[in-house]
Amino acid sequence: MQFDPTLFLELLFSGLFQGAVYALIGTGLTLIWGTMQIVNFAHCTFMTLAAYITFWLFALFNLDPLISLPAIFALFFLVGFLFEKFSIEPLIGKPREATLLLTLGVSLIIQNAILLVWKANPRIVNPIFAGSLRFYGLNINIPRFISFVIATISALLLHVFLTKTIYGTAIRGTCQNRTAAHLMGINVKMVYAFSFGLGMACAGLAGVLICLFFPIDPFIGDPFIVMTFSVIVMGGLGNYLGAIFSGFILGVIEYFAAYWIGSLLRLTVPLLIFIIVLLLKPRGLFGD
Amino acid sequence: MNEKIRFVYLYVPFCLFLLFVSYFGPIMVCDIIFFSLMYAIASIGWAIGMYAGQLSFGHAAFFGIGAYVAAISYVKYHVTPWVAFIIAPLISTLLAVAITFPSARYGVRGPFYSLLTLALAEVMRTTFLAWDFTGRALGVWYPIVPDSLIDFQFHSTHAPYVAIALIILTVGLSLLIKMQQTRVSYGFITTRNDEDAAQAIGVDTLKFRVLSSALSAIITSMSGILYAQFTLFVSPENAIGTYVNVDILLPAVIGGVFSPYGPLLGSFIINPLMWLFRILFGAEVLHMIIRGILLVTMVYISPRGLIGLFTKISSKKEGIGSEEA
Repeated sequence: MQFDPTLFLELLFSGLFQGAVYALIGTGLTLIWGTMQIVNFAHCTFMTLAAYITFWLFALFNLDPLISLPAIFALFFLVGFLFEKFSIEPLIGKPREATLLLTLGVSLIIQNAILLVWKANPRIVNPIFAGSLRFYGLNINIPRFISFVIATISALLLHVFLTKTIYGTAIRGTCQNRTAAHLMGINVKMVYAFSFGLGMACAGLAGVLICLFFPIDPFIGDPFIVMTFSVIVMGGLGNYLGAIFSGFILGVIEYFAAYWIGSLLRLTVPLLIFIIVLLLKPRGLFGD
Repeated sequence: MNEKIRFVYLYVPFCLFLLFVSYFGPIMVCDIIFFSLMYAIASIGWAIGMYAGQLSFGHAAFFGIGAYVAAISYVKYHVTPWVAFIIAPLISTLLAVAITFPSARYGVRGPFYSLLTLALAEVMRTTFLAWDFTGRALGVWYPIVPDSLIDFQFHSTHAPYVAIALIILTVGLSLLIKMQQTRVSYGFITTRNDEDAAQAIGVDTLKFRVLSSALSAIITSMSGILYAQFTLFVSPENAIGTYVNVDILLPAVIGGVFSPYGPLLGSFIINPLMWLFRILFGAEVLHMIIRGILLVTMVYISPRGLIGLFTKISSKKEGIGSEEA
């Protein structure tokens, strides 16, 4: 096969654009895992819900996704906060499979409720800036590019928030040792709810962003579930920069696999990599 | 001794009753009984994985292996589907060991094991979607032939399916009950309660984890064979799909994971209920929501299932400390 630099770059960029969304969801998930040691199975289903709310705002009130972005962020922060307070907090101290099964059940409920309300037809949001840009012979899809920029910036902002502010320090302290954090006067329960809300807000943002360039359907979150878990495992648990990097890496791998192996197997290759990484390097590629 | 009494005076009459109803009752009741038994078998398999603390979200992979082996051996190679009862357990054991051995060796446990198994099922599903050998998204369709035991197809009455499912269930259950009276069960309990502590006192956790996942894969794949022979159609969606995982784990979660009869009880609650909903409301969507609600409520009421709830209440009444598993 002849090497085609344009094609190579286009695949690379598409992969990076997709990877940015993985990175964003992955940071949210790794935040939840890092603080509470909980695997939130419903994360990607909440992302689908956010996508549908964006779609609704667009279809009913003609609100552009970029305008509804802050509102969705706030809404999902609140949803995550309350969800943690009322449904996960009572389960802390119970066997760990309890939260896994709970989030699995919640994701089933939400997914099928979406199916019931909005039906299975794919829906499309057409932002005003849709179209593509020619850049030195490369086709760059503008909505994808915008979502890439927003996702990267928010993932990095989250990282800065966690490392530079006092609240972030409290969260990271709780990650490292919850008893010690409690003794230092950190309100651990509040930290839990807060970080769950923040993680969920990331999922909400990702939902808005995928609206920009994907037709959405109720099952859009399914491939994301395993992919984003691959992202956080590969990045090393609780390692935010690692999650961002591996999000990009997996996105690129997915697109190259889709081109060279076939689009049906686009997820198989990253998942195989996930299985191998988990078995050989359980602490992640960037872990200690 | 108690176990034996329960088996002889509760389980055996129950089986005979099911056989009687499926031979003489309407065919729809027979179908409901068959599906309940099939998911009970799959769920017992899943529960054995839980015995060593391995919560699997990917048992659809083993279910799918059973279904596909039966279908492919009959449709493509024209041999009796019964050979699947030898081949499918072999393949699924290999797969289970290939996944569990390294994960027990390198400390992949808890939620990560669940994610690993989920990824395994996803990989299998997407591969089968793209593989010509497995018939891609169309799946494998059986030709319809007259009733025969060798072809493993019964159309005039579905009762033989129930009989075969009962045999498999009984073998699986007696294995499980026997196992609970041996040292192995203590190995499982220590492994699931605290793997590090178990290793520290010299329990070979690796052995117990591999053993439990191999047994679990074998039993679940048997249920997959039954599924393929009953529906006579196997596709990546109906045999390995995401919802198959839920169907497999739900009976055990509802009935009780750590009691041998728990999955059976759960399956005979959930499947007839779902059948009823399908008749009343039709929509496939609604009963997935109900499954989700049931899952969530069971997590809050009693993570050990209905049987766990019952033993907790009865032991409280009698003032005996319940055996905390």
